[in-house]
Amino acid sequence: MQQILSKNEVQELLGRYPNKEAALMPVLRAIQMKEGHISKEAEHYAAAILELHPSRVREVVAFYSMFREKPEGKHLILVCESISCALLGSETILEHLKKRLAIGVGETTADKCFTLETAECLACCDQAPSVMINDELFGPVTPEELDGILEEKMKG
Amino acid sequence: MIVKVLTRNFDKPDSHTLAVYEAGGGYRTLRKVLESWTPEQVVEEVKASNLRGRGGAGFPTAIKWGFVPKDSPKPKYICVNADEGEPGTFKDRHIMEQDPHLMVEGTILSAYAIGVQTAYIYIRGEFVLAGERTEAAIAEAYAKGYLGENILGSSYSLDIHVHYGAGSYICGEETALIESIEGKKGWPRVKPPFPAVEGLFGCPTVVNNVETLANVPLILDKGAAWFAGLGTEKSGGTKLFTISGHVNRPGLYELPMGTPLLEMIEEQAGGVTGGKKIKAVIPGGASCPVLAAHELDIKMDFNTLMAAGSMLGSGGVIVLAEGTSMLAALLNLERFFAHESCGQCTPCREGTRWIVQILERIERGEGTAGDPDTLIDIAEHMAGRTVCPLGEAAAGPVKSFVKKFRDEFLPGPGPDAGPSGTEHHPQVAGQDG
Amino acid sequence: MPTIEIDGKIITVEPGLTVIQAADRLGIHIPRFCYHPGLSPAGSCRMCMVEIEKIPKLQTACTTPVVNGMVVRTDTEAVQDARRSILEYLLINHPIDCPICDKSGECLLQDYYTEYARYTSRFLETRWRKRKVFILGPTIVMDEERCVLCSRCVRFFEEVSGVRRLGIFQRGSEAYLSTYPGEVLEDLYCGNIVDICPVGALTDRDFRFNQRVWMLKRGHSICPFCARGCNIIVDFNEDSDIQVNDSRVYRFRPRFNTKVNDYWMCDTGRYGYKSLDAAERIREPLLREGKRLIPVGWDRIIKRAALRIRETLASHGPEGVGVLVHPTVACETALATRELFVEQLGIRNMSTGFPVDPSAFEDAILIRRDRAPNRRGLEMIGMVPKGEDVPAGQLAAGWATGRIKLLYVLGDDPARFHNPQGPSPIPAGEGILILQKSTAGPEDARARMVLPAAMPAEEDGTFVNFEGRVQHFDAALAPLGEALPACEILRRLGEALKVELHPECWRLGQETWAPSSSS
Repeated sequence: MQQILSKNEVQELLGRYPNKEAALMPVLRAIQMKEGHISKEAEHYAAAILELHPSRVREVVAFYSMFREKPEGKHLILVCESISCALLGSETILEHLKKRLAIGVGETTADKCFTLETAECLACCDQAPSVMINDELFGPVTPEELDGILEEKMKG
Repeated sequence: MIVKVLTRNFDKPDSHTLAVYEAGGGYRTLRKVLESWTPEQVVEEVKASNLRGRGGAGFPTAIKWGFVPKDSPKPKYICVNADEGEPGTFKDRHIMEQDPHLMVEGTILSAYAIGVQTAYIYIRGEFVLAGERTEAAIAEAYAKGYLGENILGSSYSLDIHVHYGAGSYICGEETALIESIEGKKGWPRVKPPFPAVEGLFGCPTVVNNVETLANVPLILDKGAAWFAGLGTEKSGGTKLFTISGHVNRPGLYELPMGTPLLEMIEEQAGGVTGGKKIKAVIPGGASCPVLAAHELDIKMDFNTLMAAGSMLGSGGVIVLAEGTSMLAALLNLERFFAHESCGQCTPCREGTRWIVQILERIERGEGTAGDPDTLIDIAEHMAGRTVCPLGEAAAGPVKSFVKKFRDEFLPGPGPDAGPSGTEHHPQVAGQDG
Repeated sequence: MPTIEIDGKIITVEPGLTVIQAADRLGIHIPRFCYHPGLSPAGSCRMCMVEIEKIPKLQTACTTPVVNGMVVRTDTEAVQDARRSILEYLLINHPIDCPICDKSGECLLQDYYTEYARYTSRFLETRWRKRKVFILGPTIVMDEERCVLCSRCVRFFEEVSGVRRLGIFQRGSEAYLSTYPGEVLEDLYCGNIVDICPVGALTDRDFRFNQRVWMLKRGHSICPFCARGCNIIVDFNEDSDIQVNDSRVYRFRPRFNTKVNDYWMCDTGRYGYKSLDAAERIREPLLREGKRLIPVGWDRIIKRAALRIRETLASHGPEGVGVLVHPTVACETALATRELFVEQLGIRNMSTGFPVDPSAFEDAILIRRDRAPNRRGLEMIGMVPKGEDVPAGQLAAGWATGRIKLLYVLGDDPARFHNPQGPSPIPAGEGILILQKSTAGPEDARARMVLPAAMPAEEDGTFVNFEGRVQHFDAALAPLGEALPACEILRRLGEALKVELHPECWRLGQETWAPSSSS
């Protein structure tokens, strides 16, 4: 089995908890940071190093919406859909992005540059409507501003 | 009237750094307490301050701490609930981004009071900057001897670990949060046993909200009487309110408990966008029952809102201007709850989806005259019958929206049904929202 | 010891018990889906909510520990209302396909659905469509639309069988039960999840569509396939018009016994029911004529066996006769055997079967290495005076060398049910081999006579399990074909040999004859 994380990385994560099982979420987070998503092989890898049945790992991967089961585009766009953003037009933002990127929610552009997702409240209601691209937060955004941001991302 | 107590560092440049925090007197309280206070004294002081939990339920903090058995041979834990996800709420993120050391010092002091050796800060997975700054603050605190073995030369030792969530609102519920730290799905536990007796890893555990803990250094610095004096008779301190929706200046405002709602909206948040009238306000985050326009002359504190049939919740004030479709707004809220239902217990798993289905059908113009009553009935049978408060949280908006804006849930276009004849369903945002 | 009141009835129970357990003891059935007495409580279906004095909200009876002085009501309008609402929530997305559901007749959802008369629905939306006829593994098939996500099966694998083979994936209304994607559900204890599934989500591929459960009769017995002696229910149908494949027995299920098997049994035992109607069952007395064994009547075979025994005793004395008793026979059979062959005929060449195979599989749950159900029983009875017992290997050797002229074998080789094609432990010999057993085997080719015996579910008897627990069982159904209970065969043989058996030895055997079934 391919070792996705180094021994030290695993040891550091295990050291935070009194049992191995508890390190599951940080292990999955670390795997996703490295590989962009959590593959079936990665689930088995996590199960093996934490001595869990793969179904336990699978339950956690499937439960938490941030764990991604398939590879995504270079840039992950999250459009907040919750109430405060919705009141200020998140739906317009989402529709614009769908058209602009010619993809639906949960899909990735053909050039693997962008993946479009919706998100529950990002706790940025003061910057509504807000959009998160990778680790960066944008808000309040207009469709026009988003076009500029996407241009930048495509260049970079 | 804005008071800068909890947020006193927020406007300073590099407010998140240890240097700025210390320059403002940070960790002075920790030194004082470790040198000359017993844990019992800390608990007593917090009790006298009338500090109540800021996560939503408003439970007196010192009493919660008091449930932890003193003679337990097991290790004890404190979990900092930084899983802020209640729509309309963004106060904890601001604390972690602007003044993470305040939370860290509060955690250390509280851990000392309870006799905890290990603390976990459960941060929402989506919080990138807040996470970075919290981790940096913890590292700085270790480096300065505020954390780790024999803190500041005392016999007290504490480790703090950051545990990231991964996209699940329910993990803000304290037993789901505990399950999540244990590496499991966020399925809330059946209580009893309560976490104070059997929590994280089966050990006595206290789960406190970020804002709650951030108040602790202030209480121990300036005294319980001062803190209690900032608030109402039953609830000490200031409150971080987050105002969003159809207002001119959405944002975080630190205000005394009991500040009138309309004053907040008009004076702090700069009034409603476009000079419109207010149609309704959700006073404490998405799960709090909505207040109609005629109910807004109200003071914002735990007890007053409770008496008005709503909740202060997490202090997330969401303003809905006239022109907003209440159907679309409720559908938005209920989609959120249905999406975040853990699926463990029957009423919430089935009820939240059913509610969404009915609302979607009404939105398609296929509503029936019986729908409003069915919606209320489903909500009433969810509330109080679920494993955790999510059932209640999903039910509250349904009951209040449908009862207060019944016309909008009946067949035929309501007064503010939003754009029709388009291929999309009516948007939550008003016509020019 | 807390004393509590439930619906006006008072009960004192040990501390730590939950309200639902106390109610069960009082015979008050609180509806439940996720609660199962053999598993940890989940508290998730919310069906068992009851009213408890001084607590404003309804509480789940399965998670609420009894407290002294507690007053519980399970029959109020609020409780009924809660049950109706939970049923409504579960039924809105349920296919309500009872007529084609194999669980029909033993489904909790169906029972409550009719009890609470939730026949009309106010659900106007589109019902969930999920996976139908999803094969989880060689024995289990899943219908996701019927699943109520009670998690009993998940907890069973986690808490009882020890490997977490199932999980509930996704969340909210999208949550579903499954194995790890692509993983086949295989476990030595799989069948139990069908028993405990409160609805028709998990059904047994072996059992399903063979019988409607209400047409089955139930008898009680003891599983004869290892030394654990799991208590079982035998589900059978004697009405040949509605039998499938001419079979009488359709399944074994575990019967609760906290001292032996709790609520569980292994799949080997469970599917061992097939041996009762197996093609290999010996249905008539068989007598050798040349190369063939031909069916004869009981009178003829008994007379012939008695004659051969008498002849051998006359020509070679007791030394010329050997008796091998497999530890699959009941204590009563063993006692009758001792009376006839040892006490009356003076035979000392007697063995109580071959030793346990040390390489056989065993686990810490139920399965015992010793595949014989009554080795302890035979040891306790003492077939021959102590010190005079002959190891089976020595007896077999005596037979193979020709020292033993007539070998009478009682019972089935315990290995036979687990490996029907396996070698016979009885070597070739020149003498007269008489077999008294239920199922055909390779040694039959060398037998002079085969006397068909009932299987344990078809006779009364007593097994002593590996822990020394004495377990009596009654016949669940009549023996197959011409087969007779072992004691009855020995009684007839004694009669033909004109020896008077002490009545105590075979009295039980006579009574076994009339099959009894109980529910």
